[in-house]
Amino acid sequence: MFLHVFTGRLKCLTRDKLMLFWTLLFPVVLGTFFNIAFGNIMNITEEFSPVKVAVVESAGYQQNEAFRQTLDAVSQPGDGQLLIVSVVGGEEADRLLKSGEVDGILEVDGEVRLTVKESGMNQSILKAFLDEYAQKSAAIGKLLRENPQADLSGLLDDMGKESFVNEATLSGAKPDTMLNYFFSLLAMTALYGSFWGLRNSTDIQPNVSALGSRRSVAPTHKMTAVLGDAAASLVLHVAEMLLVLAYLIFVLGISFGNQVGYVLLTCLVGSVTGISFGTFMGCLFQKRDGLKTALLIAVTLFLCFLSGLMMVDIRTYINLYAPVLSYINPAALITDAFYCLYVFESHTRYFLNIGILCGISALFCLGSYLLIRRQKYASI
Amino acid sequence: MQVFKAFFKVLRASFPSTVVYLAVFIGISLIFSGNVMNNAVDGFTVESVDLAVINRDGDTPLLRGLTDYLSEGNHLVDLPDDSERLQDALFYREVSYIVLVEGGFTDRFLAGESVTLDAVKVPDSTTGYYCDQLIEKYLSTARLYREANPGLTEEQLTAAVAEDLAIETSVTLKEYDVNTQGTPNFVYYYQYMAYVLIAMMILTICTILMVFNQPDLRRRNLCAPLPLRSVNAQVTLGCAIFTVACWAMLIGLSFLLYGKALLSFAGLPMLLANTFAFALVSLSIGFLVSSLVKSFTVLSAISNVVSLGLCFISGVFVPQAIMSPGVLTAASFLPAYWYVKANNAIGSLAVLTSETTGPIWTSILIQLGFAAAFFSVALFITKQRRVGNN
Repeated sequence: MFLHVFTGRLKCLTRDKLMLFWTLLFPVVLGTFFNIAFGNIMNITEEFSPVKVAVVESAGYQQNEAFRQTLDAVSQPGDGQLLIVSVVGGEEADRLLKSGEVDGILEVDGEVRLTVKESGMNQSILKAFLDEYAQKSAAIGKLLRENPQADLSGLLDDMGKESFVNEATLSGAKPDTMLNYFFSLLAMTALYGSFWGLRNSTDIQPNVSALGSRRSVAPTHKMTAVLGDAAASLVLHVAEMLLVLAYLIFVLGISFGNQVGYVLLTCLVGSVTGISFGTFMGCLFQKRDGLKTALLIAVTLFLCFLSGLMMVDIRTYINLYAPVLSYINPAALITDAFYCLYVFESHTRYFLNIGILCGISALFCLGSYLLIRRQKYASI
Repeated sequence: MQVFKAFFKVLRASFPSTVVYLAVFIGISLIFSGNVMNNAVDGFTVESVDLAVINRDGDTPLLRGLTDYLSEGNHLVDLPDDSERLQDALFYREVSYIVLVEGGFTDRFLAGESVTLDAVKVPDSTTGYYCDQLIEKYLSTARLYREANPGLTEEQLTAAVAEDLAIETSVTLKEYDVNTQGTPNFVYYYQYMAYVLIAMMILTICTILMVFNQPDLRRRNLCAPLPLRSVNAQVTLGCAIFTVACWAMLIGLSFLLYGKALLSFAGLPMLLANTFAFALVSLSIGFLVSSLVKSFTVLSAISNVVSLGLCFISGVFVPQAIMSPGVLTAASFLPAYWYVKANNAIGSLAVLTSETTGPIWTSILIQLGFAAAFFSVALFITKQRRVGNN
């Protein structure tokens, strides 16, 4: 009998095109939009590329050999290239700066002066470089004044060769903040499973839908019907989540780390949470289907908003001001589970997330059970 | 004016969903525009990086000097020495750079040994490069003094380095015809307005027009002794009034929120013209969608995809400046791109000359062109369908 209910339900749900759109196509479309809009953010806003600078051709520049050599040294093409220098006339330099083709203009006459048109990271790097040049010159001057006999040539040669900073990582994962949007998107997909849950609870309650009335006069045990429905929606929704996940990974190239098994487990647990949430809402609000759907969408989107679907900074604020929210919000828990798998090697926090999610699902299931068990209807 | 009245009766019925969009929009624009740092500065300032120093070596003068130096112009964030917490902070950019100082660093450095600090940063990032540069500069200068004058105490050494590093290059900030005072808050409001306008207009206009387009209802209306021209004119009038009302409402809201700053803004007429042009574009898209879609359930899907899609691709949610050139080229075939472009240009205006305002008016005209094109296509489709049905 279970199998009969299960297959019937599965057919029934897969024919609901509108729900398929919201639970499968909408996340895919939104993921594509995210990728289009955020795909390039890291490269443009954060990634280092050599700073373009114009040097005004002048007698002062030609005479200052030390400076020219320093410029040459840092503009050698290769890994450590800091600057891309073009030596031009004054008017041309001005034109380049105005059109944004260079970030700054250097003028040399005794001292070096920098002209920029805005404050920014590249301009700061440029200034730090020029400061360093001026500071080193001053330091050497001072040392020579104090001790004219000192042999500084060896020291100066060493200077700049020794590196004091060693790039370290806390884990192998690239800290790409934009990934949070995709983690959060999957959390949204998981919680959209609540639409299926809502439909299940609508179609099983005699006082809510005609279909529910018909089904409850059938001699099927209610538990069989409920479990069959739940299993069918779970299978369908997990399949949808896997399709969305596959789309994100293989088509958009989003990285979810290497722990495939755990990622799939997160999808499964997330899906269970979503469906049980919807079922519970369906049992709680028995009348007026329109209101239930609107409420479900509003609650789901609000939870996703708190997990960083619309703006990632919200998570930092929540951790700062209301950390308890991230432990009770299913969307935040799912997002954080994906994040843990991506960033951390240990699984303590991951299993804490999954554990709480299971607890929340159990609460929703229990709540639904208590709400609709042993219902008797004198008239409908 | 019966049709006209009916138009607004239907509108009233679909009002709740419009209000939802309006509420969401007000929420979003308040959060985002409140979040924008309005750094109106007169001169050049170095960029401030959020960084953390995890000191496992103890409070030595050398490290204190280094920390002080790094904190000049940058923002030092206090973080505990806990690997997971640090990874969290880096991933969510609470900090972009973490310096880890191992125990014994100072002693080994002063003894002249070659030692390194561990730096955890966003790989290949500009901020990472900049912080490396600052640390290298500090320590190499300290090394220079140490080697040249081994007799210096640690305090003297730190003082000498600090004195040296206080030397700065003079920087001139040259102003061209752009606004360097930072973008006014309300420009962001106007940017997000594109989303609410288009989402609201598509949903509402389509809902109303689809009611009028229901085959049976339409047939009944065609039987009525009212000339078709009059029916169409009244519906058009209804659409026009609704469009103007939506536009006026959003503009009114912006005056409520940003009153004074907005009134004294020289680019205000262009801001209004730009939004009005986009309101017409939204109307035309709503008109087009209503001629294609037949069921209300499909409408909610289509209106969401179209409004979100347009806004994501055209730079409403994510600034155009940080989108990839390929996407922007594709986006330039969409009206919202020109809306955002004009809006950005208005926001960065410093002086009003024909040279600076010319491109803005061009963008507005392009939007009107889009609106005309969408209307024509929609009219063509409805005409075809009518001929086909008969």
